[in-house]
Amino acid sequence: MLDVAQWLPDIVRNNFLTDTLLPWLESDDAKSFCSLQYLAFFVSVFVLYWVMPWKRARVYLLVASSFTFYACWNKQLALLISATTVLDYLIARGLESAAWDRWRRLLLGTSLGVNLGLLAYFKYVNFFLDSLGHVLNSVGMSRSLPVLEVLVPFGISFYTFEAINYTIDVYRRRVRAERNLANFMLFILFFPHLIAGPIVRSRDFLPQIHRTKRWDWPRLQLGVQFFLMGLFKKMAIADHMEEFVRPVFAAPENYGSWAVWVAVVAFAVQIYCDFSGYTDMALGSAHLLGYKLTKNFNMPYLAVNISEFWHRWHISLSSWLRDYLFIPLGGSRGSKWRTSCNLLITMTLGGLWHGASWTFIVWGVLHGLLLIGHRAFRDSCKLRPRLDAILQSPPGTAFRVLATFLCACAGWVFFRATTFTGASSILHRMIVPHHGLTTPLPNRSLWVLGTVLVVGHLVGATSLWKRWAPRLPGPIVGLGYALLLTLALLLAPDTGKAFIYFQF
Amino acid sequence: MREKAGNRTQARSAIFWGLGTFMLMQAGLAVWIDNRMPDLRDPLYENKAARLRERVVDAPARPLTVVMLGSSRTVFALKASELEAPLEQTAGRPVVVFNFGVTGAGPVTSLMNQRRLLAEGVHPDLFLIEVLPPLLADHVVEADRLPADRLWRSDLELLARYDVSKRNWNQDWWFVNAVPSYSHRFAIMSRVAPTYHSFRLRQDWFRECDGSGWIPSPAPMATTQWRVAALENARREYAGGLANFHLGGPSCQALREQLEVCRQENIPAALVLLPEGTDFRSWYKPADWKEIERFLTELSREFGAPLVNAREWIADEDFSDSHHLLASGAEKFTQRLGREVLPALLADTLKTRGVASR
Repeated sequence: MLDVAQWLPDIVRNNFLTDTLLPWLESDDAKSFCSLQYLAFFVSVFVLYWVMPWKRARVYLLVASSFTFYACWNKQLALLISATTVLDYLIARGLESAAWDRWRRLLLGTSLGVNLGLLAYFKYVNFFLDSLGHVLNSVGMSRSLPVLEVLVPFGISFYTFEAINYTIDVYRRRVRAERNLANFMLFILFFPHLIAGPIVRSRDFLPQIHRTKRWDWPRLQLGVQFFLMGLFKKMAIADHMEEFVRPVFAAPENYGSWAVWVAVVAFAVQIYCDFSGYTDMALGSAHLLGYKLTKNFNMPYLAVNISEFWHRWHISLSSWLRDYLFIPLGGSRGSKWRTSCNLLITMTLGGLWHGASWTFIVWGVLHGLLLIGHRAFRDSCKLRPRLDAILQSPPGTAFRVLATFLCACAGWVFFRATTFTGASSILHRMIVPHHGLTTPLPNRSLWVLGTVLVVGHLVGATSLWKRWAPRLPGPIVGLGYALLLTLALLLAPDTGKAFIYFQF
Repeated sequence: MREKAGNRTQARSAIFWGLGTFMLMQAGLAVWIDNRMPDLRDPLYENKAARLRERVVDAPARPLTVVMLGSSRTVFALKASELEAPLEQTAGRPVVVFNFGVTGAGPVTSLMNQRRLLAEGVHPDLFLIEVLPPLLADHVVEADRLPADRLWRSDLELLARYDVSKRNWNQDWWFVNAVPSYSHRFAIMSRVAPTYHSFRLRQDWFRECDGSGWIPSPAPMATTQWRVAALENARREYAGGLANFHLGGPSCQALREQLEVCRQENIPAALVLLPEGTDFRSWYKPADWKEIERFLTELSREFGAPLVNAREWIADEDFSDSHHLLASGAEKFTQRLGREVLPALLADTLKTRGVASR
């Protein structure tokens, strides 16, 4: 007798949810948008979501699935996020109803204390202890300080900042406190942006929950398009660049200057495609569920100066730092000296946000100094119209774009290197010609993928795609999607590489 | 409203056409790989099999054929083309000696390759079967590690018998073949743009093998720096397992089955213990080695397959990592095999085919 059962996939033979999907989601791969586990999870949520006609049921579904998405990795930490979310919800309700300033400040302080305290503990405690140990050693007070085994919750840097921006906005009475707990939980836990942003503002997200979502083909297409673009950037470009980067940054002393330059430029491409690719997939996932998330990148390597770079790179973080750190510190309202200090503090803390390491702090300080330098240069250009005219001309603009890119690359050296010794070795080889090993792979693939990226940027910069796309027949666009997906799969690396910003 | 309707139509059409085209492309690629480019499915096997078929199955006159099955040890050890001319003089007819070593192959993979070759009409006059003693341990689970994308449908039943983890081979196979642009991406890229991936991921090594399936060890393997690191790698890979060695398990069964297949097909076979350096030989416990020898001797007796013990044939300086031979070592091993072993092994075969030996 023909045994049909052996041909059936496990998902049909067994209980799909408990025997297949949940165990599958428990692997670390499930967090990655490029994984089969995420695809299975998302398709399940997508189908259930659009099959349900009730608006509230959809919200509960998204909250439950977002919680499950996180809990499959770590149940205790999922409960922790949920608990802090409930706390912030209650605090915001209290902030809105309270009239007494001291009580409102106390509530805000509690929210900030809990959120930043948890962030400091999970992410920075060992860094502080290690740094304290070095300081004590250097002054002759050698002390063996403990190393705590702390599992850093995925996405803690992102959802903490979202919670903080919400409670501060409620405190300043810029937004109303959300009255529905499920809505607020969805704002914090919404799985497309939970792990690595973008950092969403409550005033942008919460109103969307109240709107009725209707099946919309153009929006669905937009979501698919974003997702495919992100997948291509991550799998085909970012992960391949790692082959040029990893060996050189692991042992820069073995490599010649050309290989080091190639590695640094490759890392600039890698981190952009990795992070913007993730963001595109997050935006795409959200669009497919009827939500719009904040745009996070706007072709940052086309920036003409470092200030514009930060208006185009990780926009949600830079705007958060501007609104909740730089401006409260005084912004640019005070003296030049005061403004420079505020910039330096903001960017240093921005660097620290990225990781518990002195190299990240130096990266932040470097960008702070570049921003200060840019302001000074900009002010001096106002007094030199001829120089200003030259810089505004097409060759001058090209020069400024290149100079900004090189400044960003110099910063990326500290961002990628794990030690100062490694970073200084890389920078030394970039400045002083050295002989050594050549690039780990032939450069051809780097130039081809780089060209694809540049062409994509140029098409985006001139808005050609927005003009052409509506005129193309659907089958042609569909063929393009199929080719893009096929190409992304063909060029994928051997094992799924984690997104760089997952570690933050 | 009209523009909105147009947008809706275009969007819906783009999504369905995209899905449909993607599925069609994958199905088309799967069919094309199966029928026109089988070397994209299992390049390590097919690149050699194609050469062997060309020389044996497609030859105008069927040559006397010797095929050696084995692992990367065989890949770098047997310079088969050097054996053909002397054997042709003895046999008085064309002789093909073929190196069918495949990197990463243990007894289960070699059995799979043997069955594939027989199914494709390659019916050698002698099978030389490499024995890799560390893989005869009961904890070695070779089948579990075989990627489903390298398998043909006909391989699944065999691997299911040797699989300890009881994975669903049918499901895995259909799963990976649903999206061949992903599951065969390294084989495809190795063909289309070989330098795109690092050496570790390329699958086109055997495209450069000679007509007898031999490929010399890469030049960097001969450097002192490489050899020190490689020996350490070999120690990490094998020494631990050999310290806790227990004979048995699927690998022993697969080796036995290779001999059974030879018996069923009426093909003479010989078991070959390839050269090992002093370091590698020192990792076996004496009692374990005796047990391995006993097992192989019994197998040899049961199936009438001579056991060729070449473990101490080659000096240490001719190894890259104490178990893979450098080109100099391959020369020495091949010459000695051709001088001392093959003529005796082929003597019966030559007699039965009516050719007098000199």
